[in-house]
Amino acid sequence: MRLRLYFFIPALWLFVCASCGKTNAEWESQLTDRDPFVAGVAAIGLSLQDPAGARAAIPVLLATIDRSEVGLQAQAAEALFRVGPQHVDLLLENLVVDELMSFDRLGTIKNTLVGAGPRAVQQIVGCLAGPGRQKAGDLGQVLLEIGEPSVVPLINLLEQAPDNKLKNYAAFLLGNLGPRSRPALPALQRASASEDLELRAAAKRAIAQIQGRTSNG
Amino acid sequence: MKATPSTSWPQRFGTFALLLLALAFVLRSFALFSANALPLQLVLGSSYWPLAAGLLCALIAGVLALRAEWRRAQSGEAQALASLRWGCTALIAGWLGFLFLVDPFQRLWFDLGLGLVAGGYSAFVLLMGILGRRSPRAAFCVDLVSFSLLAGLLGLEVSLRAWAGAYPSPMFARVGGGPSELVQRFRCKPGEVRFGFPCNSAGYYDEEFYRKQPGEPTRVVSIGDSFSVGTVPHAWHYTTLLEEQSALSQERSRLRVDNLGVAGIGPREYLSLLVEEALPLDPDLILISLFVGNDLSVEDVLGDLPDSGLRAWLQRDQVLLAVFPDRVRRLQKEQARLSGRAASQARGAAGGDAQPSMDRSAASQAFPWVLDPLLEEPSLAPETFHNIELGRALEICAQDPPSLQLMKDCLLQAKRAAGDVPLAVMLIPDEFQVEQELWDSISASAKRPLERDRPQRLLMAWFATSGLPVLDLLPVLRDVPPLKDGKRHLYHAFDTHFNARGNEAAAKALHSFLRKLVDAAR
Repeated sequence: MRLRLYFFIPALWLFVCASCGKTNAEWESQLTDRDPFVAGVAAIGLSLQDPAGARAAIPVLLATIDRSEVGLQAQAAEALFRVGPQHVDLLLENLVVDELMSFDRLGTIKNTLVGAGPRAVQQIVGCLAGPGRQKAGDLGQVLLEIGEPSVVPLINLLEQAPDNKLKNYAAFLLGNLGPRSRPALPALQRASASEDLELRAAAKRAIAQIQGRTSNG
Repeated sequence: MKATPSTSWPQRFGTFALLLLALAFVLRSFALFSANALPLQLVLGSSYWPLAAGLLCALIAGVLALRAEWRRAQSGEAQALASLRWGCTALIAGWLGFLFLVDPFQRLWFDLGLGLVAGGYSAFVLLMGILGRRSPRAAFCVDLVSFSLLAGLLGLEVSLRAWAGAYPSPMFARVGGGPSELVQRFRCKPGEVRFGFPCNSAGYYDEEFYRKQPGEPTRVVSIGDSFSVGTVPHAWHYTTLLEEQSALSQERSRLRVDNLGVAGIGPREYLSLLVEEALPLDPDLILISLFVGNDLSVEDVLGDLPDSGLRAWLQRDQVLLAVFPDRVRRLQKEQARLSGRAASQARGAAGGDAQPSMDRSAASQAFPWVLDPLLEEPSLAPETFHNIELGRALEICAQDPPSLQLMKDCLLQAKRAAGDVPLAVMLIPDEFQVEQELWDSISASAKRPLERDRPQRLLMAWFATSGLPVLDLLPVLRDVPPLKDGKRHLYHAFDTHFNARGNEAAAKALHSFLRKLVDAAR
């Protein structure tokens, strides 16, 4: 009996520990800890436990990616990859606002957006047409990596964008998507008859790329 | 264990208390492990399950040790009063194991490791109990050897720290591995070509470095951030101009300036560069260039962390037992490398440096803005530049700069680490302190009072008592007459760094400042 008691109490403790994890509120309270490691671990924990409810963790994950002394860069990037697709708007906001972000952070955001796939395309194109114009290059790269799901929103951008520069860029991206952009041919043909010289040229180039031709015509 | 008359209840209670405490630590560690299980699976990766197994074994050992101790007490079996000594042995072994296995220190790893150490202590008590019954002599030997060895290592660390405190030396400087890693991360690539000049094999924007040989010109090593890396061709950098100006003057004052510049670094990294790379060159003088724009508002990632007491003993790069042998090896290797290079440099000295780099004439044709600042292309968008300058002004002119104390501490550490080598400082002002139009624009945007020269005022007051010679470039640059457009054009357009004119003004001021120091040192 005494022997069983010796092991019963620790076993009970083990059972209690194993069943008690931290709640979302407990993780969130640690996000502002002055120790960046504690904050980083909390952000990762919250992201893994409840990706949809981990919005508050995203800025901490982004900061952790830049903190080499903490040693959680790769884990923060992976956690961001899991939680980011559910919070594309926040990722885009960070991308646009921070003009001097590090390559590591920029790369992670872009990979996460690519990972979000079709879910993110509409928001990315919306950002491109709006506050994200300064980051057109980065957003365009993401759209190209996402691939075919980007075609329809880009067609809409080509036809409805407020200025020709955006339309040019939409034509450029559609051309670079190659044969996957076949549904865009009618819109591109209309654009190739535009009054704007640059848009006409961009549309014709894109049509040639989609049709796999290298000569004009 | 040798049979002795039954130990008293206080002695048995002491052993019990320690084992109970050990078990409590194990249970605490287990609770912590479970609470953080989700992120730990990602953070630890393949180490997760071994750690879990280790804590489980620690728990079992704790329970078994307590059970065994209870039975011995009930049977009246004699006890060796060694549990406290074994506790010390376990703690020191845990300390060394932590240093060897964990880097960098984090409080969570410490808390989990405490559980493993407690389990190790319990296992050691069990082992000694078993060994004591079977072979008391062997138990005695294990006890004596383990405690002596481990206590000796602890004593060695304490002695090294006491020696370092009494006789500061670069060998004992505890600068931390973090700054060294940052320097590695941000330095230029060896051979990387900047403005037609290849960076040297150490990744610095300068000619090859080598250890100073007897009879050579006075060696100055300059340490700094992106101002030292520069945004001008090599021939126009202030360190190169300084060499040329000294060569034109008397031979006695001739200087060779080695430029250790790494973009994006701050006070802690300057200290690391001084210890790890500047001192092995055997310089006659070390110059640290501080840019008030950002060196006084760095985030002190190491200083702001909690548990500084624990870090001082559990962070590998803070423990001299770990740092000292590695530093001896690296410094010897560096000195041998630099000395070897000195021999080949001496042989090739007659032909001059055979670097395939752009000469001054070619550089001025490739980059015409070095001769006319009005031709400079902006590096940043005007709004971005304005926001950067505004942010800096708010950090250092609206309040006392946040990392002013860190800067002072690092400079004092650098002075101690440099030993007999004189250390001097150059303060580089921010552009808004020099250009009136920029200052007016920032003041209008700031929406709070700004004291334009606040950082220099605070720093110069401190330098007056620190014993460190300092050159403040602010009055020097303000004395440069403006060009026809009313601006001084000492900084590259929308860039924040010196242009060719700025480098020239800095070099001229540095030349007379350093000449006085060098002549005084003779």
